[in-house]
Parts: sequence; structure tokens; C-alpha cells
Amino acid sequence: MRLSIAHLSVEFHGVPALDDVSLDVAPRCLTALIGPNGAGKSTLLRCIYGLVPYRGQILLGEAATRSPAAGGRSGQVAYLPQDLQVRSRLSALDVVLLGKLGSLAWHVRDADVERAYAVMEDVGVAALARHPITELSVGQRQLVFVAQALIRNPSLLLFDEPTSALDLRHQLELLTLIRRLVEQREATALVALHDLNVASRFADHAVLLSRGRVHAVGAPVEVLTCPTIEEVYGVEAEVHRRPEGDVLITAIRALPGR
Amino acid sequence: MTTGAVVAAGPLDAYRASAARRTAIIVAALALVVVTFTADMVTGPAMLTIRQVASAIFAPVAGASDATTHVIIWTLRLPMATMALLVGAALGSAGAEVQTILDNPIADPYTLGLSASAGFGAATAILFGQLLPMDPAYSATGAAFCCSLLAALVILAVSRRQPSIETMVLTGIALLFLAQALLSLLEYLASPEALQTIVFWLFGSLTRATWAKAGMVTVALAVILPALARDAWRLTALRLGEERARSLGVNVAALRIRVFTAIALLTAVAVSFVGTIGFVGLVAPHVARMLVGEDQRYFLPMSAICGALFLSAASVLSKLVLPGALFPIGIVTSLIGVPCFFALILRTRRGYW
Repeated sequence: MRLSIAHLSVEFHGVPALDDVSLDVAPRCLTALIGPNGAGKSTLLRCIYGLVPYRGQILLGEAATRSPAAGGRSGQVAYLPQDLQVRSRLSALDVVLLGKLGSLAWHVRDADVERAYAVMEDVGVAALARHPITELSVGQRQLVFVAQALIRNPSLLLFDEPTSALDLRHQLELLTLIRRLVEQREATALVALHDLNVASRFADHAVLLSRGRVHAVGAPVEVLTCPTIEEVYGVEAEVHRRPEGDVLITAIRALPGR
Repeated sequence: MTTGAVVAAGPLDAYRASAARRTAIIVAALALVVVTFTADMVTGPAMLTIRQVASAIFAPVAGASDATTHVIIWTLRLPMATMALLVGAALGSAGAEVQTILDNPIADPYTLGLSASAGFGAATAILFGQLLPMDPAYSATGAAFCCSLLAALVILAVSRRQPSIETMVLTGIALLFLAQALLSLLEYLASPEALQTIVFWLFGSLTRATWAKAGMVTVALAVILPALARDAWRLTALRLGEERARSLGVNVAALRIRVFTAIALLTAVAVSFVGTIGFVGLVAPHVARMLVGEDQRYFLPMSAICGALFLSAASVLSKLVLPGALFPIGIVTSLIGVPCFFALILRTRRGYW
């Protein structure tokens, strides 16, 4: 799905969160959204989904978005928020079913239940289906929410740090799953990630945000260089290019005075 | 990806079984409502037998049973017992949705000052009602209803732009204190006779039940419950938190305004007809949540049924406490409700909310 952003600006109480962001997200690719805390990654994703008022233009497919209804109701766009706190005791299966909110009948159709199980199987949480969501570990909960986002078969994934609570293995598995959706189902994915190594390994493109502005766009190996990391993150780092084509980044120390 | 374990016995069967279990619980609760309703019909100062009650109900021509029994059943007991069910259902469902939209387990229909405002309205009418060419009973009911809705309108007006939980709760609590202060002022100024009338009104009593009032509560429930049921999935989604509900395409602000309006109407009708009967709207949703969970397709009807059951049982008890007399039901619900609620809290400390 085409996603094109032009001159996007957002202010919270006079403080700019995004400042003149222009960006074309490549369709049928996995684009990693990277940058330090507070760079505007979450705000950008929430804007695209229509949850934050903004100036500028966002084109989603053929239409401009203004509200979640524009993309959400059609079921084509899945936005995965970052917050993992829940106080509800709904079962994991019910939580996943809610992903089909717009089309759920009073009596849940068998096909919807089967679809929910299939997605949970894909994500690796089918065995937890009947557990209350509050009783799951934070990582398991995160995977349940991923399943919720995927149940509608979205063609645009807006995922806000989907791996933040996952162990090494589940991080790799989830990103492999997203890659598979991109390659086999022609989905477009814009995924905020903190782990630069993971980003460089799985993403086709990287967008580096810094203080509400786009600092660099391109292939991850081009974006993730020593000087850029030093400038944006204030960190001295070693960057090894690996023969596989990705980079391995080791943070050495925080630079003083930043 | 890996699956921890193979899902036993077919996931679809498991889902159907859990749905059937919850439906069975609702049916069982309905059966209990029939029991308490029957008990409510056969208890009372007149000491009628079940046979007398049944013949008066099923042989509606006055000549068939004796005339006194007929009057007791048709103008006193049936309207009161029916009103207990209807008001209980209204308070139970209103409480369920207050707790849902405010994401707060200790909220009830009275938290936002709707009942305190109704009490102030009734007190005003009791004190100054003789100035109006109206039956004082009607003017108290009317004034209570209007003041309750006025309070709701103030909350809606203040939180219209940004219907956040904080705005609604703070506005509601401010109104609660204002209404209580004004009510105290009226009580201070009232003559001893008027004060007694006011206090009795505030207790809450089903003796004010009439067929006309029961009809009005029925209409309110018949319109509002289906309207709430239309939002069942969206309200269930709201349990996952505002941001996540939004991520699922729910317009949280509009939902909150819509549901609050429904709650305000249910509460205003219930409170203005029978006074402030406490605790039903708080406890019924908790019991319902324990029994059928948070899926609103089960939770909403179950809360209404629990409310009806609770108030109907309280009505029976209010007639048994002092034989031959009627104990104010608002006192009974709180006196019985509080220990039950403690038991509930202790039993479920692991936290079902």
C-alpha cells in the first residue's frame, strides 16, 4: 500500500514533536523507523493512523487520512500501540478476536474463531488462547497484540516497537513473520525499532528520526554509520559490516556533554 | 513460529463450550430472579398464601378472588415487585457501563452526582411543592428527574470537548459535593415534618411504585439496553485501554459521551421513582464480571439480571426484618451489600478487575 507523507508537523502544547517530515514509504517493503527516545517515532505512526491532529498531508493508498476510520474501518491498516499495560481479564483469544472489531457479529462466526486461532498459531501464542491477558508475561502479551493486529490481514502495518518486550528468539521469529507478510502477502510495514542490529538485518529501508525531523533515509547499512550514530544518539559506536549485508553495531560509550 | 503446546479438543469446541457456559449462567440467574420475584409476591404484612396470590393474579376478575386480596396484589405487591426488578436492572446495567467507560471498579451510577442532584431536586419540591398546583408526590419525582438530568447535562457540557475519565470524574464529584451541600442547606431550613419527608425520600423506597412508573422504567430499559448492546464490542474493546481501543478503530470520545447519556437516563429514571437505593449499581457489575467475564455480550445482560436479583431479594428481606412493617429498602441494600462486598473483595484478592 502506498504511503506518502508531505510536510507533516505536530505540536504538543507548543513543543514541536514532528517538524516538517516528508517521507515516501516504499510499498511491499519493511521500513524500520529508528531514532532515540523522543525522536517522534510513535507520534509519526499515530499520525498516519489518524490519532493525532497534524499539519501537512498524509496519503494512504489513494486517500488522505484524517481519522482512524479512514484506514481502520476498511481493515487495511493495522496500528500496534506500544503500551503493554492491561487491566482487563479478557482471554487472549477474545483480545485477538477484537482485532476484527468492525466486522464482528453479536454471535461470533466460526470462521472468525478459526482465523483468530490460525493467527495465534502463526505468532506462537495459540496455546495461551484461553488465558486471561493479565496473567500472561509482558512478552506473551505483546505477541497476543501482534496477533490482534494481524487478524484482519492488513496491507499496511504500523507497528510501534513490537519487539520491545521479546526475548532474542521471539524477536527473530516476529521479524521473520513480518518479512514473510511483506514478501508473500505484499504487505507494507513501517516498524519502529530500537535495536539497530535487528533493524539492519530485517529492514529493506531505514528512516532515522532525530528531534522530530528526518535525519537520514536509505538502506540500513547506509543510514547506520559511525558518524550518524554519534551525531543522533550521542554514542561512540563500532559498526562492522558483515558479509551477509547487514551491520553489527556495538555501543562503546555515551559521549559526554550530550 | 513455535507453538508451546497443541491445542486440545479443537479450538472451536473450546470456544463454543465457554460461550455455552456463560449462557447457562445467565439462564440460571434468570431462574433465580423468578424465585425471588415469587418470594417478593408472597411476603408482606397481609400474610397471603401462595394459592391466594396465584388465584388473584391468574383470575384477574375481582369477583373470582376476594376483593381485598385482589387490591393488595394488583395495586401494591405486583407493582412493587416489578419495580424492584426493573430498577435493579436499570441500576445494574448503568453501574456496569459507568465502570466500563470510567475504567474504574469503584464507580457506580451515583458516583457522578446524579443521585445527589436528584435528592436535592426532590427536597426542593418537598419544601416548595405546595406553591405548585400539583400532587407533591409527582412534583418530587419530576424535580428529582429534572435535577438528575441537569447534572448529567453539566457533565456532558464540561467534558464535551475532551471526554477524558479525569474530566468526567472531577466534574461529577464536584457536582456531588455541590448537591450535597445544597441538600444540607435545605434540610437545615426545613420544618421537622418536611425534614422527615425529605429523609424518607432519600432512604429510597419501593412503596412509591405504580404501574405508570413501572411502565416508564420499562420503556427506558427497552430503549437504552438495546442501544448499549449495539456498542457491546466497542465497550469490550475499551477494556483494553483507550489507546488500544483507538487502534481498533473505536471513537472513544463519542462512545463515552453516548454511553454516559444512556447511563444518566437510566439512573435518573431509577432514582427519581424510588429514591437513592445504594450499592446495587456497584455490586451487581462486580458479581456479573466474576461470573461471566468482561465480554459485554454477557456482562451487560448479566449485570442487569444481577441488579434485578439483588434488589428483588432486598425487597423480600425488607419485609422480613420487622414483621408487619416495611423496612426502607435503601438501608437493606447497603446493610447486606457491604458485608457481601467485603466477602467478594477478600475472595477475589487476586484481582479479577
